[in-house]
Amino acid sequence: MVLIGTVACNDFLEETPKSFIAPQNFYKTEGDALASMYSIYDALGSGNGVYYRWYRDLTLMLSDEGYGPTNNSLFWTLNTYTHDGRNTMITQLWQFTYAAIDRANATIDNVTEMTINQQLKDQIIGEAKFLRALNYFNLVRLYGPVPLSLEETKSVNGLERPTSSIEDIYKAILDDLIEAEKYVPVRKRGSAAANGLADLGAVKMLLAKVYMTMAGYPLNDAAKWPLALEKAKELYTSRADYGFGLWSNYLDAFEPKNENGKEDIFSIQFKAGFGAPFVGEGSLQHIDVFQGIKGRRGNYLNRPSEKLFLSFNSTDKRLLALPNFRIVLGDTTYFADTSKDRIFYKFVEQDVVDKNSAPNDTEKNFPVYRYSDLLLMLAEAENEVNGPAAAYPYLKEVTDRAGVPEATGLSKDEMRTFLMDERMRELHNEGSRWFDMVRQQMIMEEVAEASTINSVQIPGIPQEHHYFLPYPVDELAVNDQISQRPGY
Amino acid sequence: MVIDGIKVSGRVLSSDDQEGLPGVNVLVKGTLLGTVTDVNGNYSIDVPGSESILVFSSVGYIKEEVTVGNSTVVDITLMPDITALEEIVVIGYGEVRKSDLTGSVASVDIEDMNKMTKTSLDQSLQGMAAGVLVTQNSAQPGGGTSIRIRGTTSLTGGNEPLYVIDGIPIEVASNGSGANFGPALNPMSLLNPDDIQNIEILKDASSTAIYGARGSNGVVLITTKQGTTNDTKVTFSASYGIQDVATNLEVLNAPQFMEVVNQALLNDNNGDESIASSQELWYTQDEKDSIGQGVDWLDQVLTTGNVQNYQVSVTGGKDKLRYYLSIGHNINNGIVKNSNFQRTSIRLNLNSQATKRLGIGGNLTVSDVGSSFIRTEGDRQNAGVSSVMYSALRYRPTKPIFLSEEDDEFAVDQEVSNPLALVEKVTNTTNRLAVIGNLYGEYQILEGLKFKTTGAFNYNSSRDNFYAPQEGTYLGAINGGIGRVGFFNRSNLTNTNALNYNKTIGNHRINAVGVFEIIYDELYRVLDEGAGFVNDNLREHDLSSASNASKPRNYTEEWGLVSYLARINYSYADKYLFSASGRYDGSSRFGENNKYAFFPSASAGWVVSNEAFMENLDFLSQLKIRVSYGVVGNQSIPLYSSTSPFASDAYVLNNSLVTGFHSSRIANPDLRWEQKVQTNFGIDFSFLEGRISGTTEYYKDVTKDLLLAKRVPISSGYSNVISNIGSIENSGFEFSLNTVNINRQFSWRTSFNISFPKTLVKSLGEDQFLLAGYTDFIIKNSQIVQVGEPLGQFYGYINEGIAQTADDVPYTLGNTFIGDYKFRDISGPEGVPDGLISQEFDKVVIGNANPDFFGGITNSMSYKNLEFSFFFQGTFGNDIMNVNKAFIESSKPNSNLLVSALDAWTPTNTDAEVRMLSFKNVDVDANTRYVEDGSYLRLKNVTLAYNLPGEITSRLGLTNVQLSLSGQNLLTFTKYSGMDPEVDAFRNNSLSFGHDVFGYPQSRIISGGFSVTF
Repeated sequence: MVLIGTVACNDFLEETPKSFIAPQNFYKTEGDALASMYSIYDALGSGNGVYYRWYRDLTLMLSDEGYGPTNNSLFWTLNTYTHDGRNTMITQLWQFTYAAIDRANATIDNVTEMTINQQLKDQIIGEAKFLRALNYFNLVRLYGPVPLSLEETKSVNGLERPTSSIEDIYKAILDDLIEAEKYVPVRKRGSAAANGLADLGAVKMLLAKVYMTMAGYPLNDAAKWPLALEKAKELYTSRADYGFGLWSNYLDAFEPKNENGKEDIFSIQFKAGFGAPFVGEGSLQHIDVFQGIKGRRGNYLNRPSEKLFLSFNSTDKRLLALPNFRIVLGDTTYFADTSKDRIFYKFVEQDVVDKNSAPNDTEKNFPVYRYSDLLLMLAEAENEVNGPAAAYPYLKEVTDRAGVPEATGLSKDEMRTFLMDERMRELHNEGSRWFDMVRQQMIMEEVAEASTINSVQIPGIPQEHHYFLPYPVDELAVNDQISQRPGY
Repeated sequence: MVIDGIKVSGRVLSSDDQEGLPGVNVLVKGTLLGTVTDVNGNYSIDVPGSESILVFSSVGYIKEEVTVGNSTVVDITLMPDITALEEIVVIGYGEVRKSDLTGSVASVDIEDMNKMTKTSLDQSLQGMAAGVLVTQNSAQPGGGTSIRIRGTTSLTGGNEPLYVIDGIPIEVASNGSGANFGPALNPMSLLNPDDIQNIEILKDASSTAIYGARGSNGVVLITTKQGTTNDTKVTFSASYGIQDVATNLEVLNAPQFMEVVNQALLNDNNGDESIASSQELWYTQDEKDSIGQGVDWLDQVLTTGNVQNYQVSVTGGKDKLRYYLSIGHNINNGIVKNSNFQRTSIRLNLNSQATKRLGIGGNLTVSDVGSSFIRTEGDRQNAGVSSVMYSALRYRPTKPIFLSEEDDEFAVDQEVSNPLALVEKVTNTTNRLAVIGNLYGEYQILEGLKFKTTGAFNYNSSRDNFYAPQEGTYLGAINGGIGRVGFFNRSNLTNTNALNYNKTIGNHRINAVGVFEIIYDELYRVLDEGAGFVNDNLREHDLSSASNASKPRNYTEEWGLVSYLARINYSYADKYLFSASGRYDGSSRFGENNKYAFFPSASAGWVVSNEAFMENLDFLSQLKIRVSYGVVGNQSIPLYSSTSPFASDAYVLNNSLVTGFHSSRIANPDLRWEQKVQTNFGIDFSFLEGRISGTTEYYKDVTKDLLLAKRVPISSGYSNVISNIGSIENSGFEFSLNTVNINRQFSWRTSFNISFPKTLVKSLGEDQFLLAGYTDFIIKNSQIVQVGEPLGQFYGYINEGIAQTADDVPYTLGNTFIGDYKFRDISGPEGVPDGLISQEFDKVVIGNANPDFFGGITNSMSYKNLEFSFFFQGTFGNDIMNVNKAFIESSKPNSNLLVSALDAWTPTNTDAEVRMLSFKNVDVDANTRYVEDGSYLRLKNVTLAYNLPGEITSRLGLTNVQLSLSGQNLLTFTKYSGMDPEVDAFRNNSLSFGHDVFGYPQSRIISGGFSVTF
């Protein structure tokens, strides 16, 4: 009996889990390869996802276009440039981004080894590379030099990686994007193909954006402007293939019914009403932008700065996105207390507010790149490469929709400044402003201006070291290869 | 003496080995005639006549009587008397003479234990054995207990001992399917206390290393009653008890509540009554006059409960077959309405001597448990339904029971559920079925050498139902009703094969055992949930009608254990005792590189009293010194911890969910067992022919390789990996004493035990501390686990009374106002007090939930047919975090408060203890005001029993009739201000314990019963 036992027992002690997938059973089918890719998207859009709230909250707090609640140190330290590496937002954005990168690494490493339909395989790897590039692009812009890993984490050993230079990270980003550009298909907006996955338009958009950013601070590589222009133009000239265009009303670009429509180049997908366990999983965290009237749900944390509000021409239709807040209950409309008490409205779903239903369960997507961003980028690249005259046609498309007079007679420098302001008006609270301020190397000046306009909202001015965030102390505590950035 | 009788001869055999039993006394009943069996068990005796009765007796065996009749040859087999605890102790995979024992084994006095009102076996263990801390997780009927043998040894794994019933290790999933919100059941609550023959608790490595990877939390060995070859004996017993709440809390009645609300409004408006009285919340004199007393919500939910026990057992045997059969029914209707527990169990234990060399037998018990729980522990409204006690204490006394007089629908007051709706309208039930059985065959190969093989099966299942209605419950109301149903079952198969060798050669006595054991365990769980129902009619019975149905969840897990083990006991001349054991365990739970582990132990004893030089010390009956050392393991860590499972996730494409999969953690193929290295010193003594006997022990156990999450650089995509990095040390003294104070017609004996445990956290990996404890919107991290300190430390601010001046205001939380609590400024960012109160710099250790010592004392007296006993039990030196107080002492009076609110601080009542009441948001956190001394001494049981005199019973044709009256929890001495000091809201959590969070109130039981044997 002892002998029988010995023979049978080795099998007996194998752990073969039934209720979850073990690594040895995965990466077999096309479905596995797709599921692996979806998990990267999940890392961007879940409750622990990059774009669920911290990407927007953090860049908004750092920028001059908005401010946060004084009684929440998480927000207020960023708003006043007194943050350090213990800030949860700084830690989690780092953590969530690296989680997304590791999932992309896992997909790339493992799907490469699979024997499945070659076209699908290329496409999956291409998308994974796009997503990895997007995440490194966020990291390098936020934190500067960061650890660079292009392989799946499989063992406890060797996880203490030093930072790579900003140049090396951009090189890795360009390598990924150039590869992705070969394989990712076009998904025509308005057709079923435009399901929310990244397409060639997203890849080219990001590529243009990367070149444009490299042309500015900190690399200041002006030779990248023509490359940015070339990529942006490629996308613009083939806009009909993608079905790109602008909605006639600015706020329509954020309506659930128009999602993945003509103005969306790449959006993080959210959806309400899936119930447990997907509450918060399937929807953008809007709770912070909700206005609270007593007894109504919402935290009303983030508010537009007076600088942002004052930058608009009074006829600008986009001001509708910065209203005094209202709730309609029966016949009564409630407004927020004072005229200055404006809110960001583009991500608020009026129906959710009116019904006072769960504010973290709404339909709206988060636009990473919109078509108007492409137009403004094109204008900027034209201005830098060919001068202001070439920029006007693209700029006009944006200002016409806003219902403001078109810009005329600007010098190259004036055009640069104008475009920077226009980008703030058009793309406010979409996580663009802070990066524009950084690449133009203007964070002190722009914040100082906002503080002069309203020092209650924006009481602090950033210093040189604030161009990049501190490294999270949670990383430093167990990674002896990295030391904290100077100044923090 | 002239004998005109018969010569009778025969042989006395031991049922153990069917060998002749030497030294057995053979007496003719009622005479002085007698003899002793020879070395082969043979005897021969002359008896007066055929009516003579022979009495066979031997130490350690059950006495037998046989009427001679016409036989001239009387052979008899004697059964070992395992109740004679003084002689034989059941240990893992065998038994030893108590005098040979070298390990630490505590025997529970079953007789004393059974005097307790029989609710659950685990609860009855409380205070019965040194080193065994039994804490009730909930006073609710069926509420589980946590049993800690010599302290907490694991931080993240299991801490409950291994239960071995009739030789079979029993695994019972305590949490059921997770569909409902009840306290976890203890495996022992499935057993009928009346079926228990004895309980031994194994505490040191010498006794537990034989259980290897499952021995580190100690082992509870339970043996059930077996049949005897006596005539058939039928016992019927019944008891009925009533129970009511032991201590109640006093909250404000309606006029008092109105007073307090008005005072808070005055406080918020600088005492300006004209402004305060214009507020919506203000109560006018008319309102105060017309309200009466309002509703006493506690009184509404509490009731007088009862405990009932009915039991029939039949025991007996004939020829080679012995049996024990029983059926028992236990009903416990709790003191909060609609909380109850019922257990029906049957047992069938059979043993048969099939041939001279082959014995077969088996045990089977089927137990059906049904329980309706009310949610108590926990805070306001987590997970489906709020705590009844929270609601009963918080619901405003000014509010009516029903929505209106015409309508009998329960109302929800703000965000507090209606207490009556919680007890009357919520479904929260569990139905359990347990089948535990085994079959064995035992074969005598040679003299002294036996082989025994046992196959055991242990099945338990649970069906759990939950529904929180729209009517009356807060979460039910906002979700349109929440229904959940769940099912789980667990089956466990064990095969044990043991070779046992016993040999005595002169002064050498050897006992050796070798075992191969294999265990397979499978658990299956399904859970469905839905919310948003049209009405409350269908409840949880048709979840498909929910408008918001969750995805069904199900889960399967399996594990296996393969073990080889051996033990040898050797004693020389009853003076020098040695024991060594080893177990080689292979477990599926561990990493590729560490599947197998070896757990050795060794121990030695010296019976000093048997030495020649001690012979003159007449008063000393026994003195034994023993020492043991060994290593045991803990395999009860979460399954699949060493692997890197894929987790599913979801993304949205074209507005529908697509499923993704990603690796959820880094695999750790080096993951291994938590190991406990145990050292034990013990002295057993006995004086005056056993009138005074006792044991004192010192132990030091170091548990290392504790599983904890080890942080890794988060740039890896992960934040931690489960690793073997922690270490804890447990040490302590234990002392137990049994005395026979008077032993005449009136007899009085006392048993006493006391334990002084200490814990010390030795390592938490690279971290120096972990924040733990209770956290909600009021209290943040009430406990801290620190290296170099014990577990269970409370963590918070030092409350220095109330801020009386503007200078004190910075020392209130969030710089509030005069009248708020003032806390001590301990430090600041510069390492010195900074004039501010902050979580980071001003929280310190403010108490400890571990007792300095705990124990129990039983006194039993008897006089003629009367028996009387009383039992005290208590713990001393432990603190309790009274979380209830944080909620109901000085929070916003938009819900009810304790009566102490009437004496809260106001500008004119400045020497108050309770801070000023306000409707503003005023923070409070864990602080010294909420830490209270949790020491208590409880008169756990008093029993008076009367046995009907023999002449009456025999006239009735009965063997024995006993009537009894008992009281439980009649008195509790404590300084604790809450309902009861025996609380633990977290149920078995190693890092967070000792919190009172709206627990079920303790009950007091008075019961009467009788037992008839015929």
